[in-house]
Amino acid sequence: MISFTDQQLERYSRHIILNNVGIEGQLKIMQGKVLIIGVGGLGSPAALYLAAAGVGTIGIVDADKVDLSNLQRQIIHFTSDLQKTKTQSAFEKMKALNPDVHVNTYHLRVTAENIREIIRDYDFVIDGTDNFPAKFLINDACVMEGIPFSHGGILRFSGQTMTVVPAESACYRCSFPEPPPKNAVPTCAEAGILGVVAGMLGTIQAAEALKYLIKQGSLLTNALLTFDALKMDFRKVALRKRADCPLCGENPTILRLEDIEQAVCELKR
Amino acid sequence: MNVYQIPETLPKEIDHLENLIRKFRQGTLNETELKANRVPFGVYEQRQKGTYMVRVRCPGGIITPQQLEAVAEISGKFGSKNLHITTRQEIQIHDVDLNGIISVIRSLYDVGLSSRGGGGNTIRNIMASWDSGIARGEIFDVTPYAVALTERFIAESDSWTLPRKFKISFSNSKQDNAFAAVNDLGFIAEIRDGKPGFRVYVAGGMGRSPQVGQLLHDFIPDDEVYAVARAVKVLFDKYGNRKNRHTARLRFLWQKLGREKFIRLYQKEFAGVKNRKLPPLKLKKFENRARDRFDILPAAENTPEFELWKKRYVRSQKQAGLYAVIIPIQLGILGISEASDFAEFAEHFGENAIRFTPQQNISLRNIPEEYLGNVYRNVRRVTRLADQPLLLGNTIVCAGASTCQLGICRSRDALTALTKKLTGAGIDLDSFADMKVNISGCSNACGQHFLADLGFYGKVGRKNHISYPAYNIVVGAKIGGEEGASLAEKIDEISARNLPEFVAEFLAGYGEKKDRYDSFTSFLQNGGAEDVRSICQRYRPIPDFDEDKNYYFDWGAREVFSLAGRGQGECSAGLFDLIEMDLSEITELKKQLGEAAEEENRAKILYRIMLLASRMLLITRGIEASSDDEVFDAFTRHFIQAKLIDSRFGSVIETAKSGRRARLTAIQEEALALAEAVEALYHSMDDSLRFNTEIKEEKEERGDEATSAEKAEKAEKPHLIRDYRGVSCPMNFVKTKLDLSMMQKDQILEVLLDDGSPIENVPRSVANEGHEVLQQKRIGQYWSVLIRKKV
Repeated sequence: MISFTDQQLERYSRHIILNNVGIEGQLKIMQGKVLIIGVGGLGSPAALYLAAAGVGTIGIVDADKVDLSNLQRQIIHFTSDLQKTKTQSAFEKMKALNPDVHVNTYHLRVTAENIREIIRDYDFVIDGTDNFPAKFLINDACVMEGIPFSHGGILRFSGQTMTVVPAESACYRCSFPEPPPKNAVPTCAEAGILGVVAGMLGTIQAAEALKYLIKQGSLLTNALLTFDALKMDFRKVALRKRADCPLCGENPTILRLEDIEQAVCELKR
Repeated sequence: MNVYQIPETLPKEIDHLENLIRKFRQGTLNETELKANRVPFGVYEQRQKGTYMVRVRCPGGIITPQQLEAVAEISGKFGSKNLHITTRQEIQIHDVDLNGIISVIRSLYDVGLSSRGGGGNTIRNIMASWDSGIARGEIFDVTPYAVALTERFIAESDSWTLPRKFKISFSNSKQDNAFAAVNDLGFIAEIRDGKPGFRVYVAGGMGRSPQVGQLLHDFIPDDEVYAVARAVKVLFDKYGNRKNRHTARLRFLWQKLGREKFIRLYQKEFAGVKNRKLPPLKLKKFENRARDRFDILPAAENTPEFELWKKRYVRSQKQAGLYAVIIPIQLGILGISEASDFAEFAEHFGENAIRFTPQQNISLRNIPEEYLGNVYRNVRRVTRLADQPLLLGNTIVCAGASTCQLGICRSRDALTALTKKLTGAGIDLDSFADMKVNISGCSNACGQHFLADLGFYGKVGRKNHISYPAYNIVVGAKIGGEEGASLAEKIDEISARNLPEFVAEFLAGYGEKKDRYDSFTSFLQNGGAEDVRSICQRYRPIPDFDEDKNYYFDWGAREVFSLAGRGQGECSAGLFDLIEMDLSEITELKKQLGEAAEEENRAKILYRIMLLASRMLLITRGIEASSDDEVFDAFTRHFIQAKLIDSRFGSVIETAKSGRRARLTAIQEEALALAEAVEALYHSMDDSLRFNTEIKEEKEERGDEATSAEKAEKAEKPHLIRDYRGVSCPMNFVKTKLDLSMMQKDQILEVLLDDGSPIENVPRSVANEGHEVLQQKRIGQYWSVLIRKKV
């Protein structure tokens, strides 16, 4: 039985009046569970928007504490939060924004050991991490568990994102079978990042999560969206699900999760 | 003297408008709300944003010389250097800025004039024959009726909130020179058994789907004029279509109900009004006689020009020894210094001396013969047309594309070119003094082409993919006479470039045979129509763009003819032309697609087809997109999301929008299917721009009171009733959606909604989501809406 309090009706009215959302869509959002791995540049806006949208359960995973250098882009954390764990800082903001939302915090780093256990409880995963080993780990775990997720990456002025619906659409490894060699790709700290680019990408990921929950429109599957904020060019590159993908292909070679070694940048993140 | 009595409530209404303007300037009132109050006050925004036009009510075209002088002075202070005389016998002040509006309205009020009802869904200026009271052949003077009905109606508050505009006219004889037979309500003077009265026509009107007036009363005695007018007004108010302004005029109600039912409902109202024994109209006499004393001396004139002028423009009145003149005003544009100069002069002939005519001219009356010389001298100062034939002075032309947002062709410039051609063509134009040549820039009838002997209205021509300005030709309007009125009918078309030559040749030909026919109509019926066609035939092949670019420039235009920049104005002018143009380009492109081999070229053509298909019907939704992306977005919103077009086309639109046109060749079939779907939708559209699905809804929603009430009683028992009065937008819609989500398909929800934005928005939004709105019924200050859950 549908039950909305008058306050909920009002809080979510701008969703409800949308033809594609409506009462039913909002209900799906309120029953939805989304996990955000990494509450940094990407995770901050995603966590805030999903909380605002009323997503029933939101999990947030992060092992770090709030650092002064985070505040230029990780907008869920404030100056008064320095040295708090990111999960605690994010938890407080999300609850303040929308007390209806249930927030699970995981103050840890995802590993081959723990990740499947964690993601299993969720409908959709947002990858807000900043390193390749984590991204491959998330891709592999989600494909194995059959949980759709949004991949995202940002660098300097540009960002890229794709949505993976396991078994149905191309996974990250279909296009990028192996992580790049160590230190071949600079991390954010080395390369710098325009703060708003994180916001732009994180909100796209949140939009994908919401669309997945309400089953409307089409997801960013079988495509990689890249943009260059400097020129404000947006491009969508078509991707294909590969039969010879080592993970989701017909004869997979990756059958269990493994942590990949990669020296993440020496600077503090 | 004031021509008409202004109701005591007007100053308060002016204060209210002033207050709204203040709020608007402070930013606490939006433009739309201001507009809703401004337009019924006769204040229109001009093409240039932030400047306004004020339309001054002049029943029967009467204005006293003192008032005209004041209007000129007011315009000088707050508006432009030119006044404008309209085809409804009014006068307009232009270029008033926001701050000046109230000053203009108050200054007008001080001299007994009002702009109330100059625009919007109101009782518009009531017309009367310009020569009423003086014409030799007239039945009797109808001026007092036009003025008295004006006084009564502008004091009734329901005159300002009608479903659409309401036009009334009085003619003094069967000649019907006030066009009573093409107004919403028209009275034509008649005497029966020695008693004055009127033959009454109803539901006439022009515009895109014109209709001549239908006979309502064969005869009514003159003391029933008010009862008739009141009854028609109440009928219109009760049953007129408020939902769709394109089918709101009285003639659409006539068409919807049919003669019998219309008359029956009218008779009910008529009996009701008569039962109330309201006082008859208070008729004032408008004296037509020479002043007792003149403080100017007669000026002797005996030049041949003066004699010619007398022949062209001076008519003797039924009052012995008195004369009336017509002063042709080109395009109705009267400079303020000319206006005030003329007004001062006109005072010599009394307060009742001036009339504006439907040909946008001025008439001056009650002139003793010996003063005609003085008049001639003054007229030559007032107008450049003083020594031109009446044919040119009587020509009506709308503003056209040079200033009107809806215009297709530059009709004013076409007239200038035509005038130049005709004056140099060696044709005796004076032999066509009784002929009317009217030009409209588009299919709206602002230039009254339907009332012309020879009329033109602008259209888009096209050769080899390049458009050029052209005109449809209509001929043979019959207004007045025994057989009832008929409008001019389309017979052929001509390029704008050749219009002057066409008219010159046609008139020359007609001039030679003229004596053989007793009227222009009989000429048309006996070979005249063929003459038109054969001249057109000769002009039909127009040169290619590269051969002669002149054909592709409109008269007076510096740029190649294009419809770019035309806007969506108040009405649907030229709209069908525009849709047809996009459609024919699509057809052309499809052909090209078949011939195009190159991939890149094909992609380009497909993209263009999709753009045109997405664009062509946007105009029916009042949308003017300024970029390709806007076109696609608007199409998605208003056609795909509104479920008028299948949602599967969303992805092909996305592809086109993505800028990767090359991909389109891969989904060519889908792109062409979209174009076909749009075309099919267009063919399901009716004259008032509604599509099949919408019409069905509306039919079920409205119909007449009795059946919908019956229906509601029988089958439409609401499953749930919700009272959302006092709940503002969009929360009322949110709550309605919640209610619907808890109901079963086909169950019925009744919601009570406030008047204003709630009733305007909620049913529409609900319908957009695919539910069926069965009924909207006003109950006092609120509405009951029945919705059947569909999805």
